[in-house]
Amino acid sequence: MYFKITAAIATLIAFVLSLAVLMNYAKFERAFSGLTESRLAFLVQDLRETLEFGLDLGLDPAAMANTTSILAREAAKDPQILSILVFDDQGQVLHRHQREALSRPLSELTPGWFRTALRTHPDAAPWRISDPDTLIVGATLTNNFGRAVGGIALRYDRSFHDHELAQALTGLTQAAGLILLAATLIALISAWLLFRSARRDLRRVRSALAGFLEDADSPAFQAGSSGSKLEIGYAAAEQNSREFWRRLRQVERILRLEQQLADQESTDA
Amino acid sequence: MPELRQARFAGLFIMTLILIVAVLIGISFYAARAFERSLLPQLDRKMLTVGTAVNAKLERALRYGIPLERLPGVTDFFGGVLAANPDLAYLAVTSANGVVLYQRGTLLPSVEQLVTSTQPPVGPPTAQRVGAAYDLALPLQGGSTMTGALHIGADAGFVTRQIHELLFDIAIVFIIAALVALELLPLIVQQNLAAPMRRLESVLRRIADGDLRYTLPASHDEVGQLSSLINRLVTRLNTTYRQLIHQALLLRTAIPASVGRLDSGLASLRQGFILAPNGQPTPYSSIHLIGARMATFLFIFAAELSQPFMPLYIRTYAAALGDPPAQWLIGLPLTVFTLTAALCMPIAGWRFERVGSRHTFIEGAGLLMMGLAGTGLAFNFFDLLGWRALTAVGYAFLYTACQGYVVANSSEQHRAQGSALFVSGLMAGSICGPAIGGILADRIGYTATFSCAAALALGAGLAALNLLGASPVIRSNQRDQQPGHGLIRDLSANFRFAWLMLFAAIPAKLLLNGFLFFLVPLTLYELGNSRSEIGRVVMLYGLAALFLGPMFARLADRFAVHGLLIGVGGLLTGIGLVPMLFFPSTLTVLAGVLCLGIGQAMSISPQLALVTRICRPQITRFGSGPVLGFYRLVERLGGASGPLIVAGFAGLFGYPGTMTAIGVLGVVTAALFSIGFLIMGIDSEPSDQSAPPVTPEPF
Amino acid sequence: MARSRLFPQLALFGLLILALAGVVGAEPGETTDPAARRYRILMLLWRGETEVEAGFKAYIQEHNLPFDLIIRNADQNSANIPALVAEARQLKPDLVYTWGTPLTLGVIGPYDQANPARYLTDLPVVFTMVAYPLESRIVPQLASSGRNVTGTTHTIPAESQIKAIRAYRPMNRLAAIYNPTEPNAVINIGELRKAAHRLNFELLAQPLPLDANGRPDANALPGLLAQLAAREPQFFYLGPDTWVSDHRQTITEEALRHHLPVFTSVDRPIKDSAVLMGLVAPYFHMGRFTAFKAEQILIERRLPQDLPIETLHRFTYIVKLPVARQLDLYPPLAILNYAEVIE
Repeated sequence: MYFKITAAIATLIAFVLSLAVLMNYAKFERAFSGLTESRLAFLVQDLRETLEFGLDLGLDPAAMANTTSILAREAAKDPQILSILVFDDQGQVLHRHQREALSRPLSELTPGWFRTALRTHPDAAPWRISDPDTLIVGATLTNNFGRAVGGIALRYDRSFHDHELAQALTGLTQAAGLILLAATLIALISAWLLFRSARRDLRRVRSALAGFLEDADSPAFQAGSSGSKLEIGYAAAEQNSREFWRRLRQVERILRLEQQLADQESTDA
Repeated sequence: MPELRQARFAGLFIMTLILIVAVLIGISFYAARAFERSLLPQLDRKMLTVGTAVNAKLERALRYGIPLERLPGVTDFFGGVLAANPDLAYLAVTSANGVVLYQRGTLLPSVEQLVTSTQPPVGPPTAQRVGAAYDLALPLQGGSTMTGALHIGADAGFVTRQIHELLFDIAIVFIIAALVALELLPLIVQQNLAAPMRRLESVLRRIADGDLRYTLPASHDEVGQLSSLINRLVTRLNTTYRQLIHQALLLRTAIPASVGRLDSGLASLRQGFILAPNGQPTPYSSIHLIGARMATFLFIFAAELSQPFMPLYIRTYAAALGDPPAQWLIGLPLTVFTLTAALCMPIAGWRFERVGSRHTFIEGAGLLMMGLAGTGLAFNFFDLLGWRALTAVGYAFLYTACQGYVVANSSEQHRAQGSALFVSGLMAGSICGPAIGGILADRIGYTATFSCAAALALGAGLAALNLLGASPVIRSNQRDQQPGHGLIRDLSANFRFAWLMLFAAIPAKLLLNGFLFFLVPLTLYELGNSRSEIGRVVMLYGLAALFLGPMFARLADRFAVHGLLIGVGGLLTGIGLVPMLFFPSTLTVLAGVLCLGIGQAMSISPQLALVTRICRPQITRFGSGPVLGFYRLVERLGGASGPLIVAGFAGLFGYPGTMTAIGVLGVVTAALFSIGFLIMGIDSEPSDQSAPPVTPEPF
Repeated sequence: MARSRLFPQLALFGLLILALAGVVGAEPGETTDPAARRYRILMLLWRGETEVEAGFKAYIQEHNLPFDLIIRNADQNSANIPALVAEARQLKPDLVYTWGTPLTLGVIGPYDQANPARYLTDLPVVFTMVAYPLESRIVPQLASSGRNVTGTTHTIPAESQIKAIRAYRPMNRLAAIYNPTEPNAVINIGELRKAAHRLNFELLAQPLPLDANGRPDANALPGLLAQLAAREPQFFYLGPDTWVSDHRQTITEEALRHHLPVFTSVDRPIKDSAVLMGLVAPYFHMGRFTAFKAEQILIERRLPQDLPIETLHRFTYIVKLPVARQLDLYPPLAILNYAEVIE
């Protein structure tokens, strides 16, 4: 009985917990990604300003000799930055800084990819795209006659990011599991306590009935003065059953007597 | 004892609520701590990145020979940086001799705190807790000397704030969990304790009264163990009796002389007792309605899960046919759903009469499941329409099955109570569905949310297997029936009925479907709300209807003010929508939804009561079933037209304008209704006859 | 001009001019069209080659454009224009380039009196360095010339200029002197007056007194400046005014003496006079921009009437640090961020 109630409560709590875990995780994911992305966007923005400053001085992006060193300097700020690229409006990479000793080679971004990125992000705000390995934060470079002349793409290691997120989810799930366990125990105990009196009634009635079934002459069940509805009902039922049983026995006796009488008559005859 | 049982149930409910609260607090605390561990290093890096960049700019000014303390525009510049990086709290510059030169932002520590945290740290700079903030101090190099330090601050409550932003969602989870508990716990207690105990007690009472015909279903729990003992007792008494009778029969043939004695003995034995025929006691059973309520709750939950984002979801498909999609394309699937549901009600009724409620329910659950899964996985706009129609067929089946079950299994005098039970399950589902659906859609996406809905539909089907007793197939004339031909002609001639339909029933459903299911999600989304927020607003309608509906129904009956309530309800619904054009905001929409909820709560059941009164002649001639069936059909058709009509308006006036337009429409029709009935009067019929108990339909 | 090399230049929000429709043309991948031919551009100049032409050529070189340039000079004399028009008719180049308002007007005429006998009407024309294309009736509207003409203008909108000044220091009184006989100068002061009303500042604009020959009197300058300085303006404005530009050294020295910072919206005074700061559309960039328009017409085959008449989308903010030091008026940190700082 209380197992079923506990199971129901546990299911409910599991439902509540899974929703809470889901929401907390989603919030965490948003906050974590938000922080990472806004930091990278800040870096890219800074880089864009530097490069556009160069453009405004009349420099051609391809000809800006020190760009690679600027990229290297920015990339040095964070070990998770895998590469920073500057590309032109044709999608050709003009400058590139790539972290050495990558655990596995990065997939190459195609000129078509860059062109699509430029076409879909014409304004100055940094953009973000994810691919399986990396998070890509980029910005479009415009010259001073308002024309997109190229862009910057910063590729960030997703594995660190994904690992942190997975860890958070695991932690939350484990905590939820423990909490569920504890809550289930409490629910079990509470249900047990709540239904103790009912169970006691049932047990008393049951043992009385078992005794009665065992031995019809066992003492009659006495419902206490504060007897429950069940006990009172049982007492009445038992009393009536005893009465019926008594009558059955009586009839049985009569039958036996009749039988004996018949037997005697047959032997007499 | 029943009081005790009530108290025990209340105790159980409160204990569950406390547990839920404790669990939510527990997980939130854990989350706060875990977040802190992962987010703070990220915050540190962000501060360092911004700090390095700002520092470089300051140092550039120093390189130009501009003295740090004479550099203009620093605080303005800081303001710009802070505005672009809202996760930072402040920026400040202290000079080498311990003076705060510039500062901007919130949570600024005191001068002493800033200066003491300036002491050049060894190794890479790390943020430290200063007052209510994390402070990162970066040295400012002017030439070769350190001329000062730049401080970047972030709110130390950054992580807690993230958790706080969840508070609203968590509160919704709590409300829903409480509602689910309110559905689930009575069911469990009823199924496992209350009902078996009642059975046990009534069998015992029968034994005490000498009725030995019944046994009890034996389960494995405490009640079951006692039950099986009672069964043994009953069986033993019955078998012994049979044996004796048998023996007596043999004796009678063997010894004719004993017949008289035996007969008197047996007669006295049987006196005051009823024994099982053939010595075979039958299992005692009773019917309860709580299972139907649970089943109703589950299927409405499933069907309503997608409600707060359905138009947004449709729009993604409609966009393939033209970007931006025409408004009527967005409205079309909603109309298809309501229309199909309305037209399938008779089929569902036919099915119900043929195979009974359990069967109908399971079929409906299957259809609903397929429809929902299909909706989630639709290829294009056209098969989406098909899936919506399939979902609607399932909905009609489920609705009819639940309603029919309640009507068939509640006695005449308890029918109102039974209906109330059904409606409360319905409303609870329509509160939980949108709220949870919105949250899910935000977090796991549309397709996964539809999968959840399909799983819920499956759950409803499984629940029905266990919960809906295999009730006898009942040919009931209480249910909606297909209107006969003569009835329609007769009803159309009933001017009051036509007036009620035209200016109260149809507009009410039109507004409900057009506003709540179409306009609210789209408008709120345009105002920048997330789908969880839309779900919360939509949920308000259900809350208002759940809590106020019964109250207004009682009010209407007590003071016989049905017409008044319908008029006022209609006016309120309309008035609530009018301000939208002038104050287009989330709050206005929310107020509109509340007005709609209150207005509909006022008018739904009085409308039914009014129908039964003004159609008295038709009801006597055709029966209440067909009349109400026709009334509902027309009403539902009005509802089906809602999204399309509103979409038509939306194409012309935009969403806020449309809200105002249909609000005005609502006000005008409600006014016409009121004027009409003021002139005509309701009827000269005596009102002492109470309305037959019929289920109001919130949808 | 010692440029602070790596420092990012942020487009000052206020200085950004919204792109008029259709600036960014089709993908310039068509330049590599194998059927590409070479195009002849006839460049008609007003006062010989300037930085503008250097920028024009630089753009052509960077983008490998198949352009051959034919350069002709009007030597600042309107009388030479008809001969240039005649030569253009005879050469039939693919595009005609014109420099400055008088020359452009002389070659293509006002938009409402385009007499084909006198002006070029059939050849596409791209003009540059026209300060006021609307006021000088070269085009009826900036969005489209309505004829076979487009071009660039170097005039910075008055609003942007005022915002640039205010980005340096709050300003509610601005002093200026102008040559009342020079149309461009008068138009510019008119624009400033409108801006003063809109942006809520007081414009102290003094016309230069004229001498007996009807020419401005240079001797009046110190007195005029003292008079203006006495009314305590926050800035002195040096605009597109040939006479004033010619006397830039005197004017800025006088202003400096009265501790009055000078702002300029033209390129010329930056290098050799004591202006504090300026917001300019550098000639070199004007040339590049004009070459871009030529590319759009010849390579991308856009019609000149479909291309708007535009100025640069970002201007260059220049601060002269020695002057700032002298005035004890350092540039705000935000400006250091995007300004070209001259040390």
